[in-house]
Amino acid sequence: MVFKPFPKDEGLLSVYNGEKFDVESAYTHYTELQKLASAGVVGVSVSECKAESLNVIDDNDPFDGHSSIDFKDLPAKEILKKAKMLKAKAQLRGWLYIR
Amino acid sequence: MSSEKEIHILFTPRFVGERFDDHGIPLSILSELSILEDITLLIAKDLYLKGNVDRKRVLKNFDQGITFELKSIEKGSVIPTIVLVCAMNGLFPVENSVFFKDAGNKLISTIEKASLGLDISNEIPRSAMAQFSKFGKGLRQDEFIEFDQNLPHKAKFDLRTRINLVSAAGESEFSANTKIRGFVSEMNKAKKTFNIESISGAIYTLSYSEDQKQEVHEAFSEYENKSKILVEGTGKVDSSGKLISIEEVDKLTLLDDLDVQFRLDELSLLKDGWLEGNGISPSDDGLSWISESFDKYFHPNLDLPYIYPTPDGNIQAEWEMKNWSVTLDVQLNNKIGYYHAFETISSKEIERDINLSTESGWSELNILLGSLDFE
Repeated sequence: MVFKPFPKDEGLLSVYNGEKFDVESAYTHYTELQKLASAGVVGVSVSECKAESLNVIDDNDPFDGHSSIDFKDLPAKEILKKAKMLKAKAQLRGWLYIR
Repeated sequence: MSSEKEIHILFTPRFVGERFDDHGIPLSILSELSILEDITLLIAKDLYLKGNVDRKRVLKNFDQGITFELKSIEKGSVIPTIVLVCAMNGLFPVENSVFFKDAGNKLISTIEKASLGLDISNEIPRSAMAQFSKFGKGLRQDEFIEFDQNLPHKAKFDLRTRINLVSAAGESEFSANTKIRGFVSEMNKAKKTFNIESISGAIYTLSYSEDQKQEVHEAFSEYENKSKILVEGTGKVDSSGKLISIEEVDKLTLLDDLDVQFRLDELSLLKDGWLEGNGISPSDDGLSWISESFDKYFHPNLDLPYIYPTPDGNIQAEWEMKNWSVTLDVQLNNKIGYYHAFETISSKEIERDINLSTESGWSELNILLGSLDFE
């Protein structure tokens, strides 16, 4: 599921900071610089994360413009529910960029 | 020759597998039984020549007065009784009938040896062994035939036995019922052929009949939109089971965008490390199980899910139904699914652990999903 952190993420879901990347450059950075596969770009706002009691950290690590949505220390079921809420909000917005 | 006949039971093959539990045999498999007649005839001729070394060929009317018949289908799982009907010549059956009876026994003992991986090169003629490239093609991976309950290994005829027999005939390819999912990337109306691009990227050129033209054309014209198609037919495979070519197309089916089997076939191509260097690939056995179970038990009126791999080598199915976000995390090793439905407006949630190894577990899933329409 797109908004659920994987175990390797240790509770921090990597996202692109919309103030430093537009959607196309985020996609290009992910697929061409990081050489990772992607079907497209969806997004949520900081306020939508906060509404779910999720902090957004502009850590700029490992690159400038990298942010993390903090799911740390939440029980698995809470992570699942919050991820579904974020997904529902992103779906309302629709695809921001498609390959 | 009198009208009296001698009836000799030649084969009582027991078909074993879930499809035969209801004591029926699919017609496609039943039709293969006639190949046993061809094989037995070849062996009988061989036995005749070995017993008559002064002869270079069998008599012209060697099999006159001898017919093969399917007499009955017994229960448990399914046992068709194949008999040899021999016309009488006075008080005795026609002279050559003995070679056919011996040929039946020889065939069974050869299958027993082949099932044990023993040398069968001098047991029956190569031409008879080569016939097994056609016999047994309708059997599925987990199905087999026991030709003789009294033998230690019951003359078990399964995929491995079949490969041993065909290989002993010096053949490297044999026929198999084949299903292939993919995209129609080319269509040649003049030659009535089309290319199917399989999920793994392999391309096969096939012929289509007039009544299959519409499906081919539809899939071809929607190639850019990744229109999916299922081809069922007879293929040639090598001894490792790898598909070499498709000889005949029996059926074409245009598939839903979210076709579950198609998606699971895609996931079968994942290698360990698929997720940014992490991520275990789902097991082939697990994917086969969930693919067959979905096909068999998932209610056709329900929306199909999106299916994703999970980093721990399992799969997750997702449905979006009205305001409900539903996930089913399936553990492929123990066949337990964690169902979680979350209503994003009211925050109402429903969760269950479902045993997907049982039909009742799938019924529970169908009911849970179906009831969300009315929540």
